[in-house]
Amino acid sequence: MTSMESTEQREIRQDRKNIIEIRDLKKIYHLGKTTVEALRGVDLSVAEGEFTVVLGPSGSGKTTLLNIIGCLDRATSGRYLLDGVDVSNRDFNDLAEVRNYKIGFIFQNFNLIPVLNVIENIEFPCLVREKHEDRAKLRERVRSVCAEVGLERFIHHKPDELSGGQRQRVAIARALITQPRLVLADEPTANLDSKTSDQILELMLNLNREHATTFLFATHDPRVMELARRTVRIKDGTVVPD
Amino acid sequence: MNILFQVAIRNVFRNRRRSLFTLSAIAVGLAVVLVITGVSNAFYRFSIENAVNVKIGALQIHKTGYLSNVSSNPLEFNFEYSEALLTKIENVTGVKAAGGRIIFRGLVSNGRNQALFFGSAVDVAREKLVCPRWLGSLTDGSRPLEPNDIGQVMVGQELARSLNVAPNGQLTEASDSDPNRVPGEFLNLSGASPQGRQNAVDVQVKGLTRSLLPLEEKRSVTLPLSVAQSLLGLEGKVTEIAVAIDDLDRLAVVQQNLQKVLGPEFEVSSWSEVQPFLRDVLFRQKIMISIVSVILFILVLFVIANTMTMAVFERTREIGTMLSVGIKRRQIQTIFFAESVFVGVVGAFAGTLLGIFIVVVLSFVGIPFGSEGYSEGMLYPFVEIVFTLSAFTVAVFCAALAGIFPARRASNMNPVDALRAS
Repeated sequence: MTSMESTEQREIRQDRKNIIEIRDLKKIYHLGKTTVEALRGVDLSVAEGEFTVVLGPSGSGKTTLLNIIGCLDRATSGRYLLDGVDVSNRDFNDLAEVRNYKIGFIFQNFNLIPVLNVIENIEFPCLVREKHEDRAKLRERVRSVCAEVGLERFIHHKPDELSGGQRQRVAIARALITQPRLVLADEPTANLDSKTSDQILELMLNLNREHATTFLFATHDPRVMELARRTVRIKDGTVVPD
Repeated sequence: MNILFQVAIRNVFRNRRRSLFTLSAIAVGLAVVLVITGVSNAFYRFSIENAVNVKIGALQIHKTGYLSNVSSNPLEFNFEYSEALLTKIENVTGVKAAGGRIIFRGLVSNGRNQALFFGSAVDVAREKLVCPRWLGSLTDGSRPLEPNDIGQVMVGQELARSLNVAPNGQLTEASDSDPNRVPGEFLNLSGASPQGRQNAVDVQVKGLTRSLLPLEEKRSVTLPLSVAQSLLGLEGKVTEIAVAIDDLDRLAVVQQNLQKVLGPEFEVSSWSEVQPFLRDVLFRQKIMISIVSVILFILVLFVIANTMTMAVFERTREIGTMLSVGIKRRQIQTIFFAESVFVGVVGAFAGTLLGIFIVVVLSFVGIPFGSEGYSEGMLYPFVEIVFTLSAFTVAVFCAALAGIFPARRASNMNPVDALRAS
């Protein structure tokens, strides 16, 4: 289809349900009198359980695409189905709900809430839900996710008491606690040293394998590209065909 | 606790110095409002008590129609000054004392010069109970009127100077600075009866009175009731009965009860009805204090709004993060609004304590007030509980109001832009 992948991979993907299905997506920005066409008709499908990297130079529209996929922004035109549901024309609060229930985010700068400790940061997305589960039960789940990402000993630490790698683990745990259909990672290893990057990538691969969580990366990190099972290239606002 | 409130409160503590500054602004603002109100209350009470005790009396009883005819011919509205009437008045609950007066105008002469005067003829024995400070505001060397004095008067010191008279003919510092001038001590008062019959009487100057009002010093003559009664042909009559009451806060009730007892033949007026000028001055002062308070509250509002707006700018990326994990706009608003209200409540609480503390200390120590010799006294500030609670509520309300705009600003952020913030 629209990306570099092995024949075998493609076959696997075609058997699975699509988590992301984008058709003719356009995004136009109006900056004063000039109009910038950030996305010029993108078509993209990502199947359940995929570990995909989106590549592209800065200004290619990569971040715009990721923002729209992450329901942080809306396309000017086109169709976007997330987990089979059309989210193209939802209002702000609906999109917030979609992000909360279906998408997990991992950022380059970790983006933790400084006044909350590890455990609170992780449970935060669940606690802002209108009806959230029993807090004791939630704590139990948080602890098990902490164990999975190797944070058991730091659960009461504040973000500023943690190393970069540990912070990114918290971010991963926070992304996973809601059991999302899709995890979006924007340059997740950019602020980490190579050893920590490897550990974080390994962790994400394991999670992808064990929970079949769909991962979509935006990165320049060659190690991520090596590990990715599929690479999508973006140039000038369109997906470059294979 | 709800996670949103947890985030809000921890953020207040996160930037301690700034929170402390905001909190102090609210606390100091509120404390100042309480203290100036306390002092203003004390001044208000002082002024009323001064007016009531020095000259006016808490209540005045006149024959119906007196007040509306006071400038034409007030003496026509005279009435029988009887023990029965006094007993009737003094039997009303809350009444402390009552004393008859005749207020009139006449001419005063020293044989060579003549001047207009305003005469206040009083039942000396009773007046001492009704307006305890009236007969005591005298110059050095003067003696007050006593109940048994006949034919003796007190004259405003400016009037005495212009007529060259002094108590017992003695030179006083106030009467003249020229040591070679020997003043006399007798004056001739002339006045007209309600029917227009002219009469005159010789009186001896016993004392000189002082007043804060220059016109009063130039015009006032205070004399025993009996002198005025024979001068004006009003034997056994008065034109006014001044009434002192136990508790000024119960003025309206006592006024009502007195009116009921005396019936429609008489009109019972409070000090504020008799002296609308004083009432208006005090009312204007209250308005000024209210304006100052409103300005202080507005300043407090801007301080909080400014702090919260800074907080929103600084935490833009944090807001982006929260938006990315699916927080609703309303919830972002809740966080920032709760921060303002929290700072507001704590600041208002501290301000209330500080304000009450200062007011209580001042109420024990007292603030020296008044001009020497005229209306010396101390101000004892006080604030009412209702006012304190209202001021507290207004301060919290201001904090909440100040939080609305920054909270809305935070909640209206675009997640993409917020996440991009450095």
